[in-house]
Amino acid sequence: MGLNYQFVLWNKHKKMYDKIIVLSMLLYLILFAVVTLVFNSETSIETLILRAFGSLAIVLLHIILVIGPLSRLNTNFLPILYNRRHLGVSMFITALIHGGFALIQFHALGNTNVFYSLFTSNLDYNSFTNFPFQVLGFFALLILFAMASTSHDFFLKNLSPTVWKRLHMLVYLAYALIIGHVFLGAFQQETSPFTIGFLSVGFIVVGSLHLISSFREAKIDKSIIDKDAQGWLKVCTIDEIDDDRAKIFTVQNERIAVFKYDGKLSAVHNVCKHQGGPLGEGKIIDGCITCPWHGYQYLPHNGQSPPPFTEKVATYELKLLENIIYINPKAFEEGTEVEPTQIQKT
Amino acid sequence: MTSGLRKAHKYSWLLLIILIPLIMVFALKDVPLLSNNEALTTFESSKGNIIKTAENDLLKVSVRSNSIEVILKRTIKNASSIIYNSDSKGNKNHIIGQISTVGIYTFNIETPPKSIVLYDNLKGELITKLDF
Repeated sequence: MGLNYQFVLWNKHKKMYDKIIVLSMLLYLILFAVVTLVFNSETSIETLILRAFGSLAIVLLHIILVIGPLSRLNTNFLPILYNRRHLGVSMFITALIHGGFALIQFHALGNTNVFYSLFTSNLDYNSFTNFPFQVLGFFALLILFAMASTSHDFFLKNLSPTVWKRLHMLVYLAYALIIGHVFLGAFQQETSPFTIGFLSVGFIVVGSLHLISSFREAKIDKSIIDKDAQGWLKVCTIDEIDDDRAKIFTVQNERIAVFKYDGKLSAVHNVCKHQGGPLGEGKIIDGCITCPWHGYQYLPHNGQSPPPFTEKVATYELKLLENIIYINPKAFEEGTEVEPTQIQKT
Repeated sequence: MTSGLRKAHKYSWLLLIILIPLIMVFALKDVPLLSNNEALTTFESSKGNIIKTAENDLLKVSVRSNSIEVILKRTIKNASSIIYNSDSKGNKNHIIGQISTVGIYTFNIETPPKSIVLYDNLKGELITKLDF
């Protein structure tokens, strides 16, 4: 997390990650060119460029789409999630090269406006199989542009995390448009079972991971917690929470993270103010709850980011009876100080 | 994530799981897999006597009983150029093959065509038509 906006927020890990991205992309492009020239030497350089960058963008999009659910299912993938934004911008640049080159190659060499040509060169809008597939790719590229250009924390802060997140969920629409673009375009002429199979398997993997993680989350949301006579919720015993870690519970459809640290217990709303990361899956570092997604920090006893940062999350009251933790489901205002519950040593 | 965002993700994917396979199936239902892909790239030596020929400024075509020889005389700007068997009105029937650079192409055919069209599938436009 940073106080002042920088064009690119790099650190040692991000630099290493970005080097891996660039080298992997270059390796893919070189391999694609070599394989194409060996097995299909008749291919023109224009076609080679279009296919290499188009296919690379699709591969990157699939990787981006599986990072989210993989991180939900296995925390070992969290470091990749931490760096996902740079991968997204790289994917947009790759798609832009493909789309830009296609616009020049197919629509800019005549005497009509490029965009007029794009929308009118094929007017078979009533047909499904002859649908002007390039238009689908164009709209997908517009969505990717909107996402890449607002990927910076400046826009996240000013658009609000909810609006920003909903804008970036348009990637799912872009994915559907791209599938249509490829199946109604390239696959109508180059009907290789390998490429069709690759995209089909890719969709099955991406779709399955998203559904599995969604249903797992829904199951957690529906879990029932016992109440005592005063309406406090009986959540777990002390031993069920590791030191400097948390356990997450669902209360009235919202997640609460109960942290154990320094012989004390505190509870905060589980959703990070930055990008909605699960605070309860993070740990206490330097006395602060640290979000596992991008490292945003909050003090456990008041839910406030340490100065000079200003983010705040809601806090909750806890009580401890015979090693059993109870939580008051009524949230305090964001940033409200709550005396931590002391754990008595036995 | 908030519960609202979790639900939005879930319903988005439930919709995509239905929508995307439909796109895939309907897009591919009329595409002959593999068999025509081979036809697109078949370059075999010509055999048999020439039955009929036709020529214009772009193409010279010779039809044999089981093959068709196409000579592309000059470079065309269209990135997609596919030869179709067609009727006399220029309506496409089935794919004969794909051509790209200047040269001689030979494709296998089952029956000699009465007419062929060279068509740009990307732009959806007719490049040229030849009648025999």
